[in-house]
Amino acid sequence: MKLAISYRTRDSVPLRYCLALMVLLSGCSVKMVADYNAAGAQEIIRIAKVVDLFYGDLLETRYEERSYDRFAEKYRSVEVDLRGLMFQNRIRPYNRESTRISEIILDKWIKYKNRHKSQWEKYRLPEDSPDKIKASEIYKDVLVEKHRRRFQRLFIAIAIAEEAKKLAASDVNEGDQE
Amino acid sequence: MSFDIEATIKSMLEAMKGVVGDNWKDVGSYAGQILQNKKEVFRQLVEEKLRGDITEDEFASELEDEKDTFEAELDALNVLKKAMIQKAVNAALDVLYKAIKMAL
Repeated sequence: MKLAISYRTRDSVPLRYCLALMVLLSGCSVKMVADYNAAGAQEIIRIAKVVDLFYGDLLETRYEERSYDRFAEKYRSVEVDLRGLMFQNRIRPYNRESTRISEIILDKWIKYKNRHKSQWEKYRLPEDSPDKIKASEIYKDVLVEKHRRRFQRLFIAIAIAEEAKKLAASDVNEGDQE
Repeated sequence: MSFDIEATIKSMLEAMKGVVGDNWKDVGSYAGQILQNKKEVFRQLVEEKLRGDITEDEFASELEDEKDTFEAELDALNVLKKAMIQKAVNAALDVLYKAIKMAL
């Protein structure tokens, strides 16, 4: 019995371990981030452009004409795009950070939309109302510029997060395939 | 059949070092950009508050949004780091796999 064990340990078992290890390692790779999504990356750039154009238009509009109604349709359309971006990120495994960034972008968009709406309503109050604000306070240039830059930074963040996934996917077995 | 564990580990570390070295500057450059943005944004915010361009409420709201933006930028940095680690570890595993294959 002892001899049999000794024989197995010296010859068969190490070989079996090696083969098992090989089988395990052949399909073994570490995964920490989601796969790169080229269509998703394009979508980020597209929405970023739409948002930037929106703020450009807002800046070009005279204070008296910065009504919420004038921009409401655009607000809704971008909100739908941003919600779509968030869902696309949420359903991908290993994608916690991009999901969180997309949630922050959506959250800021809704916050600024609601603020624009409430400021517009305050502007429309009767002249003698203590809460009435001036046209220049509906959406101040200084805030429009800040929000435009903030969205640029947020879209850069989500675009970098997506591009990083391309880096992670570099093919370590390239040599084997050639 | 021989398997030199020492040489294999050395090769695995070399493979990881190569990957990290190639990509570390991307992480460093983005981290630097985030900090530069942060400094500039806070300087502007304080100036605008002192000039009266923004109200107390607007100042507080912008600070809150800045905190979230910073979180998003750190999240992006985190993905960059994770991607680099994934690539480095897989490069090392590839070396190990090839070494075992050759030893058999």
